[in-house]
Amino acid sequence: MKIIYTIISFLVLSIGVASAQYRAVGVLKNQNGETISDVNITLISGNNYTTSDRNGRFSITLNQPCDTLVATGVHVKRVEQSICSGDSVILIVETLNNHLDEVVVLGYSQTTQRYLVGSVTKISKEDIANQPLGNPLLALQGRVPGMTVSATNGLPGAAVSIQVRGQNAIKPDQHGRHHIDPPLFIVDGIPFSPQNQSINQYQSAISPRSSENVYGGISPFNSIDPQSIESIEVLKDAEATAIYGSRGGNGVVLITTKAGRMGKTQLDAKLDHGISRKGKTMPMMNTTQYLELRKEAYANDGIQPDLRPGLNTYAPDLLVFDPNVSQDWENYFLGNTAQNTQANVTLSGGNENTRFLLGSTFRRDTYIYPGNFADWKASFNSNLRHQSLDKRFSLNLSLLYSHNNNTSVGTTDIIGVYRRMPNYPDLLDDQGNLVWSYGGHDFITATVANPLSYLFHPYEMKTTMLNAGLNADYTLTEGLKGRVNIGYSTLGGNEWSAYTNKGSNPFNHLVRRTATFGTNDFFSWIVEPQLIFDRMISKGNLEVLLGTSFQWDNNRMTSIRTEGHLDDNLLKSITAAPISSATDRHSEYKFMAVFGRASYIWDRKLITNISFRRDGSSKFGPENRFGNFGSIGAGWIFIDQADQNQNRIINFGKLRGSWGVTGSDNTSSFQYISRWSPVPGAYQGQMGYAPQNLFNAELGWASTTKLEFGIDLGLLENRLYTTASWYRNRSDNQLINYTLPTQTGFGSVAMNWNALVLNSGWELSLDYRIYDYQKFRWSIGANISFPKNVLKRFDGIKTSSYATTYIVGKSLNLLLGYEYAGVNSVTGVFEYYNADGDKVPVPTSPSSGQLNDYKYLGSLDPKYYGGIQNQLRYKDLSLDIFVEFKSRMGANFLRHVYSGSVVGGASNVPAVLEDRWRNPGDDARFMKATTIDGSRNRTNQLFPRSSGAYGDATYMRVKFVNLVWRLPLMEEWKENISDATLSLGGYNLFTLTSYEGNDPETLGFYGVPPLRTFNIGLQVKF
Amino acid sequence: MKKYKNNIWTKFSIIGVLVSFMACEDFVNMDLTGGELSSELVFKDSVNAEAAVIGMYLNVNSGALASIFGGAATVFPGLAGDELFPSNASVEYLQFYENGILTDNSLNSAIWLLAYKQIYLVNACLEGLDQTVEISERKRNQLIGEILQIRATNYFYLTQLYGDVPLILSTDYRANYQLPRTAQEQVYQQIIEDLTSAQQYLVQIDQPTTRANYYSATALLAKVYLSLGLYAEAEKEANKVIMSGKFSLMEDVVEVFSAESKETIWAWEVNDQSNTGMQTFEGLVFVPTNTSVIPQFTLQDPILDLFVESDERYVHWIGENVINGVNYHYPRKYHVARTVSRRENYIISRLAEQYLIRAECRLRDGEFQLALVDLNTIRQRAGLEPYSATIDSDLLLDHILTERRRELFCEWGSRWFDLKRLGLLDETMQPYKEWWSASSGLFPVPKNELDYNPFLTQNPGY
Repeated sequence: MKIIYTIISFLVLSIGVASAQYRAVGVLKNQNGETISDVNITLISGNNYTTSDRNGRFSITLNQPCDTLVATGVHVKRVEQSICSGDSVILIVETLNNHLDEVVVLGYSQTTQRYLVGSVTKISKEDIANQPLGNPLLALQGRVPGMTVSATNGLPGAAVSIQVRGQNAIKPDQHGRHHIDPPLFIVDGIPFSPQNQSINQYQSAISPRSSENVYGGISPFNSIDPQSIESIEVLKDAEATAIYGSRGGNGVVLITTKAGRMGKTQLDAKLDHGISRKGKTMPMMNTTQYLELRKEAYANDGIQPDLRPGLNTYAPDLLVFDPNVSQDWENYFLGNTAQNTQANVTLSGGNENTRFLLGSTFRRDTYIYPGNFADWKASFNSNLRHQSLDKRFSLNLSLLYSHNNNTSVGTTDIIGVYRRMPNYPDLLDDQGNLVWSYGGHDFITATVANPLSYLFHPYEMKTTMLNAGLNADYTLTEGLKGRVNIGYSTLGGNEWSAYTNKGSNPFNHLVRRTATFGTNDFFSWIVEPQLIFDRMISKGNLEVLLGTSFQWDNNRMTSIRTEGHLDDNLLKSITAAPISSATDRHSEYKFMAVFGRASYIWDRKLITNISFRRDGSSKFGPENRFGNFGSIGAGWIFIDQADQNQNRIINFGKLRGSWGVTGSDNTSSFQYISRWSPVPGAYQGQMGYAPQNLFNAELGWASTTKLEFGIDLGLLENRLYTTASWYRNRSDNQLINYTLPTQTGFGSVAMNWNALVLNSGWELSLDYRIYDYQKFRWSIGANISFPKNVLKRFDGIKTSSYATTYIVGKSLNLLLGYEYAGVNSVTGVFEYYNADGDKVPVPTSPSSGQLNDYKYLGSLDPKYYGGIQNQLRYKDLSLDIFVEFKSRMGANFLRHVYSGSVVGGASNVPAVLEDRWRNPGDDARFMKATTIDGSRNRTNQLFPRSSGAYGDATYMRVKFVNLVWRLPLMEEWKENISDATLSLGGYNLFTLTSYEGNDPETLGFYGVPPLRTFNIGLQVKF
Repeated sequence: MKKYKNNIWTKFSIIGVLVSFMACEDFVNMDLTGGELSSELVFKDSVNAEAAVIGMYLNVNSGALASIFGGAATVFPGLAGDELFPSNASVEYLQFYENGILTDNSLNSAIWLLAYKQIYLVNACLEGLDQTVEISERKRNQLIGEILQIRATNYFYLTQLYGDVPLILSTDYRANYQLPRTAQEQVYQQIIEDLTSAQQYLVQIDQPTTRANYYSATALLAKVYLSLGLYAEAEKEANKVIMSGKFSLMEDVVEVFSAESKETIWAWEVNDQSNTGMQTFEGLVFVPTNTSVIPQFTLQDPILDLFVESDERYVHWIGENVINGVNYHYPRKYHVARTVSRRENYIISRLAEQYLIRAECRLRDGEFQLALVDLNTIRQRAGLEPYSATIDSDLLLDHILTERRRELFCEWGSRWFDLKRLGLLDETMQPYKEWWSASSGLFPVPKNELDYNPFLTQNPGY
């Protein structure tokens, strides 16, 4: 089922006719109030016929003063209506499931799939709301060709990283990791104020932000209720994104929320409940295996274990703890069942002039770890549409509000529970207090800290979001419309993180009760006046849009740290702390643009679109403030048999191409001047300043030139619709934080850099309605993308800061490291190939611009990715199955196991490390057990930077299965209840992969992989 | 037949949209708001310019232990040499003790980073003060004199730890980002130049000891000359400090590191912004919060063996925790981790060191008796018997050097630097640490610096 949606209901326009003939005009709409194009209008009395234009309008000459119209088309049900000369009518037709006439929302306009020239992927509400998700971005996984979507971990609220068509800019941070180029997010026409930045300031279990999880954080999109979304459109090529000019360079994601429908007032209630458990993880060693490993390590090292903390000889697990106890700590902490409950009520209705929708959702997710932690949110969405009786004025108001409350653990150590010794004693004593000593031995150091203490470090995040958009238009004169789009978007976060006395190690009194209070507020408003001109010229329809845009963004953060509360129960009070200190940060950004777009469709065959945009951003100095962007797109519909139902194989064919320049001002404000700010505190009563940046007065826009060709084909009576696209994005004027050695005083400086990065690739998608009968329907949707990223040119790379980071001709996301050569069967240690191809235990690290023994080990970019959806419907039962797949190389579990620790030290390791070298001659997978760490064991220490810590992370995951049963209603109920369904769903059901580690999506090992969820839901429509 | 008429709204709207096309350029003009100043404003007048200099004194707050002014010059040479052991500190500290510092050791990276951050601050202030109009000549001299010392101090410890280091004297990153390491002699030359200029700028100005002053420049210069073996020059500078009459040794060794100490030539008051009772970073790090905690850093035997039990310094400057029958000795020059009952500032240079410098220089200059007087001054204050005048000259040099170890243990890497300047590092450390190699005397240039500036070279052995 395809549901069509528009932003603006167009008015009936009369067209001046000079002759004295009988004439009538009208507009075709469907039951949702959306205009329908390409419907054939004929007269029962014969002769004249016409077709509705892309705004659904038509005008027809009648044979007699009153006549009967017949509307027909492949995508609509036949309708007849009587009409008299001079009338202006609205013809309501019922749309059939037809891909070509599906409305696609673009920036500042809309079109149908038929006339779409740009590369746009639409995800409709069924595919979003059916999944038991708290974050709408996760619903995009595997659905959008050219877009990668990854959850940073499986806990509720976690950030989701999104990238459209690859990385355009060289942008490693100080540790050589990439920051991804984010697309622009627009919600109901308003740029979403926080965009996709993480909104938290403090660490928590959801937001470890470790070296392994750079993008960790709390996602601002938790505030947008997936149930309130009508559709999400992802704009990719120049044609689609150039209207967003400077900010469209990395793609645009448009989120449109639901609106009311004409007709009887309808109440829709939905109740869902689900349970989640963590997915498959690797088993850890039991006590027997672990103690054997430990003893072996000490024997290999030739040292005796003792009880003096701080050194590798410290071994309470061997000397104090009970060797007969074997605990599965991972299961203890992460093996619980999380409960997810969601209730949604939507009320909608209206008439031709006014339509409304009110919706509200409550959702609560608990965590898989023990304790009373939860993420809950209440959200409210409303939409009001109105048009005046004379239909010249129309208005669309959308309001989204949500409140989110997340309680979790303010320590990231929780993921360290994997590593706690399996014979660690019971965590609680008989009175329920945390245990801090065993057998007379006190747990003084972190190595033996009671892991349950992690849970007594509470964290709370409260978020409030308001997104309000008003879109009003007024028909000034025939073919000319004035429109204004006004929006306000705000998101405020309130955080609290505390160390309780209960959770503190009693032997370390350095840690006192502390609590930190943070706020993080984003505000943004936008005003966009526009003029739209619309006229038939020759055999075509010309539409011209001119507009301006003014935007103001503001972000303010405060953080107050307090210390010394007298009681754990007072930790939420600032007043209760004798010691407190505060810091704040503030940033502001203004943006303006003049833009225009001209679109001409000739004879329903040739489509030409031109758009331009001139943008000004306060992020750049006066000389470089403005940038020009634009695009040209063209399409040729070479076959379109919509109106003649001839039985040919190809029913529709369109070739399309586009070229254009888009940009980016994705950098922080005021990098073009040297800034100083006050330093907290005072020196003997005097305030001080510190410089904030190295400045670059010449800083200006980044630009990306995009080229795309595509073909769209409709086959088998348009039941099979396929699209193939090829694209190439060239970024040679990048806006980067050029990494500098710190001898310059700072780690980086904002710069425009002309290294050339090419992103190119193929994207294929297919929609096939295999069977489409009354009782049985089966359809398949599938997409696949083959991206390629290459650093094509980088002048002077050998003497730049990137000499050992990038290689010209390889991907920006390349892996440089040592080539792993296996375990030496004589010495029992890892070996690597050096530059000469010899096996050595300690290769030479890169330095002074030379790679030395570092080698190119491959690209971490996905080779291909996509998704397959199956929809089956038989009578009252329907079944959806969605499978996501991705092929890439990624870090495996060994990267975590060997990062900063050794196998044989006082922490548990996965059971597969049983396959280690023990005696000379052993052909083992892993090196010998040892307790010697760091600099004295370089071989072990370098392993995470070798190819041995990476492997294939290709996976195919049954992301989602949903079975819906339409309940048979008793006759006496049918009066009140129009529809009732019961659904059973499963999410992340199983994964096919050869990946070694916990999960190929989140990668690594010591984390919470995506949860497996089972869900039951009831939906009733009144 | 209906036709829309052009009405007032039509004209208004068209004009409105067209006007907004024109009017927009000003919209994106934005001034710095939200608590930031442009550098033009910072160096416009003396109030703001002084705040920029004060920022340097506050800046150390960000670098507990990691920055040279935050205790790094004590802790890391102490670990790398024979003073400290990381009993209850992270594995990255252990790398210093084991002289196997990895190039990506984050502590090592922080020393380098924070030193160059502070050098940038000095350079920015020097460039800015040059442009400041609304400032008295006296104030300008005072501020320039202060910050030159801060730069010299950073370079002195940088070159002691790393050998050749890039000599950065401006804020222009385009000129600096590919600068290779500068020969140590040249770095020393700059240090001496900075300190002698600082002396000239500050000679007329009476500064508190909590700010860099004429005598702190002089005391540091004495130390620099001593490192270079320029004993006559060192003696001259040390003499200026001692003879100024502004400083006197505290009778009670407990009071030497208190905020009231008369012995202090230059000390930093720690910016305890959150008012937690913290006095100095070294106190916070070295002094355990109670007797059941293993100190993070414990003193090694070679230090403990130097003292007789009656030595006041042993009694008051060394603390001890006994846990599970193991004795953990820790440095306790700064007495408090956190308290409000005793005020302590972080002392950069103090008079006792100048006595010891002068003693050594006098002896090397052949002034045996005078050297002995200086040495005995320090000994007597510690409650020890003075050496008699009949002592052998060579032996006296050993005594002076040993006294330096006792008086200045765990104080700005004094022991480590003495071994270096005397060329005794390898022969002293070899027997003590079996893993010692000839390259252990220098820390590695941090990996990131090498990665981002291909013109930098690594020290041997890393």
